[in-house]
Amino acid sequence: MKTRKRGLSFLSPRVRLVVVFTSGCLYIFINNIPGAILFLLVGIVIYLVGENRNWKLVLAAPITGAMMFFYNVIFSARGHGGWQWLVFTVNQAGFERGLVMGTRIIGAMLISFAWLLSTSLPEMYEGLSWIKPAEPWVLTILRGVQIIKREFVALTQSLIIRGLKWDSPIASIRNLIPLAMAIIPRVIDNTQKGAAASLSHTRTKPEGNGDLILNDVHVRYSPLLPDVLTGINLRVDGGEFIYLAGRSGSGKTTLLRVVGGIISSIMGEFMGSVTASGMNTMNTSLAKLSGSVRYISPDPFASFHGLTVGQEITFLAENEISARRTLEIMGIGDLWEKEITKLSGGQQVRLVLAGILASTAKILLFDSPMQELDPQGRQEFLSALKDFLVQNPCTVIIADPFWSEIKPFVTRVVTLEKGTIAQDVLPGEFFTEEMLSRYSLLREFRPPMSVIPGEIIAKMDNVYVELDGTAILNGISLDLREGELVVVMGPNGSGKTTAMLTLAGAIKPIKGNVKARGGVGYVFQNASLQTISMTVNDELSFSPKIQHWDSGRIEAFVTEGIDWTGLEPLSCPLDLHPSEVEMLAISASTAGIQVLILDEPTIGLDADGIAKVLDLVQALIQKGIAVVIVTHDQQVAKTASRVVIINMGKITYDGPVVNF
Amino acid sequence: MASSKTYVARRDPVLRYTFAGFLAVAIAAIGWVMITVGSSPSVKGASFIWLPAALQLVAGIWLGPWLGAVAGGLGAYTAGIFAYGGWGITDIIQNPIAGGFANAMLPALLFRMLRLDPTFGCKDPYDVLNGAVRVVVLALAVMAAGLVNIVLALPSPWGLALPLIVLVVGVPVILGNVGRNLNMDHFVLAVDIAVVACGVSALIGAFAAYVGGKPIEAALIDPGVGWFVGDTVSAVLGLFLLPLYTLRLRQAGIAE
Repeated sequence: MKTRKRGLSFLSPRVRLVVVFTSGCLYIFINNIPGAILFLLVGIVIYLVGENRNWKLVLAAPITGAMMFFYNVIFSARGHGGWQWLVFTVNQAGFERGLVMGTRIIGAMLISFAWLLSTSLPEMYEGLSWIKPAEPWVLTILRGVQIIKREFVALTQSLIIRGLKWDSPIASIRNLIPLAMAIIPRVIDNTQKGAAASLSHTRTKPEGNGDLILNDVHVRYSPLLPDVLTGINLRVDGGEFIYLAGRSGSGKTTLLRVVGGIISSIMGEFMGSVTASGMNTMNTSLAKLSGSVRYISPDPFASFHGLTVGQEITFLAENEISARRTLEIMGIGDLWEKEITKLSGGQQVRLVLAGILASTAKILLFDSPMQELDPQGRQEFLSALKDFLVQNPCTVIIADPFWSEIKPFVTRVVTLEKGTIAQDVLPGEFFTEEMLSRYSLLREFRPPMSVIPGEIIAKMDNVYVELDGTAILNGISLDLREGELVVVMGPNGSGKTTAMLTLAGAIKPIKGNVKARGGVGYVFQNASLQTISMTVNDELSFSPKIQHWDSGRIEAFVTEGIDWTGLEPLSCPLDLHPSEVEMLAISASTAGIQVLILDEPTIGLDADGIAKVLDLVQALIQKGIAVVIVTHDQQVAKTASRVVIINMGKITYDGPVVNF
Repeated sequence: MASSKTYVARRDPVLRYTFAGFLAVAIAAIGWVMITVGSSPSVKGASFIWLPAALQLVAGIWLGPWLGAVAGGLGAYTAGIFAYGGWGITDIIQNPIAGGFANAMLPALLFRMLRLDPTFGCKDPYDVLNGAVRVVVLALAVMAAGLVNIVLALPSPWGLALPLIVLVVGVPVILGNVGRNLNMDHFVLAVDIAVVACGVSALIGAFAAYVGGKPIEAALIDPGVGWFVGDTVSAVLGLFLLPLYTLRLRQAGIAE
């Protein structure tokens, strides 16, 4: 059903822009009271008939107008007579000037806010993209808005969860300082990802036949850091399907990045030579290389260049028919108009994979593509990949812990150990218990963690949450007890993460109550989004300092964290491997808590890492702390005593794992 | 087949453009908040707590004068548009021109002209913050001592005696051992550059208010003085960001 557009939404984005630009430029020429009042009325009408209103935002307009009026009145020029109030002169001229300035600024602000609230980022792009030389800048900046917003939101949520108060304007301004400092590393990191995404969305014709030759390749990320790859020699023929195995930190991601040209066009440096599909990566721009070699990063959100699903897929597909078909294959055909920011983590992965299926690349490099997908999503992806390879035979190199599902495709296995190739074998030789254990791909069976739950320590009561006008949670009720391990499961986009962020106090519900006795710790799905400090030491001591622990207690907590993570106290979280960041975030989140929420903690960890996390969970629940794990991993689910299934923002099952 | 025997890094220029774009967004986001909560009551958009001055300063020094001016100016302009619909001529003068050219481009040019090391040779970036705060405190103490003469009304040149005493005593007492941990020559010049840039920015801001209809004498006081003080405090934070991130940005191939 089509809804009738109101207010500025009625106009096309370009006309809307012209209206707001003109009013913003010309209002200062309104210099009499009737004109200012008329302008104010226009502003009020445009704002009120608009589809979206934000009363907190609009409050700035009357406050600004009142201040302008007041200060112009009391700072009247003496020459105009009037009367004295304290040290000020108040007269008719100042009064009139104040009235005009105060009234017209309110009008201008209301029109501007009406535009802001009625225009989405894709519409802003539409409004500005006709200026062709500026178009790439417009897109980069609007993508930047989406990315920086995600970082701000994640950092703010992280700061709230870790105990920083945002309860007054002064506190908010004070908190902007750590936020501003922490945002710079984020900007650097996202710049690298954003530039890579921008260049890999340049449509260039594929070249070569998918052959790959690496000759004595060494890679490092900085002269100050050790080499990650040392002397890699590899030859791959076009059409091979290679499974890349190795423990966390063995160099899998780095190898994929150097083949994909990300190193050194975007980050790191290397020596030796890499020839991918007939092109020497050192002499070929990333934009050109991407037509033939596509690297799929494990952070799907940062891989996008478009603002909406439709725009993103159109960048990559040959035509709209092909674009829509690949979205259908990945089960997101109905999301064409949707903004990228409004997709769940799983939907984002599906979109990235749809982009791959729409491309005509000769070499595909997959870095953990299935980790964030639910079981159905993994099945759909592999089925689509199978069809794609029939239509577009190409070389595939894939690193992913779901080896059993990839196994039928694999023609060769290459393993990495400490940055060198350790094995280059046929699948039959690799997929054995011994080899899988050696590369930390085989997880030991863990019995359910049995602790008798105590009293209720956290409670969600009929909670409703809306984000950007979309209902995400529709009446969630959940109790957590001392020493309980609860697993939360559900399909991608069902509201699991939102529910848990609400429980942690980072999202305010529109209806219902959330109560927690004591602190709630939270480890994000992408743990690198929540780190704040520049050293491991500072990261671990951040929450204890906010909670005003004494120095001895802080030191003990930091020492314990460093022992558990095995990290150097002065190393920078930005230089750590994602699995190390995950461990650091988990350790830092346990300060003074009664509930710990781990959102997809197995992502990026090998079997040893997962076992280590589960050992910690066991220790925490024995101390009486309730632990919630959000996961798609059924092996992890089996270690819990209780499972909660969330679907479409509602709990559809809450009971023992055995019955589930 | 080309093969390198030494480590090479060939960065794509898009990387620096993207960084400029993203930094502009960060400046716009923080600036939006600052304009909303900290604007001069008589000149909307002239924020007295302009924290983005820190990012504008580093944008110029890291990205170079032109790209820095684009990031700093675009960010400030967007902040004004979002905060109060500031599209017009006064807004263009006080946001992109003051923010882009004075707060970002000017320090970049001066840093290059004087060949200053943005890391100030320090091992701990907090030494810079500590040093910068002390220099500002000293400057304020000298200014306050000068203003005392309004009350004392000592005849010239005795009126200069008090600020001079504060300066002579204040250097060892307030600055202390800052010089042990920093390259003081570079650091003091950097503080001077930040102050000059903020002064120029404040003058441009005052001019914008004048264009908007305010008498120039009044505009120099409000927003001029508040603008200068607020930007200077924030630019000091920017000096702290320089040693904290410059090496990382150089390694990333973003900073010059």
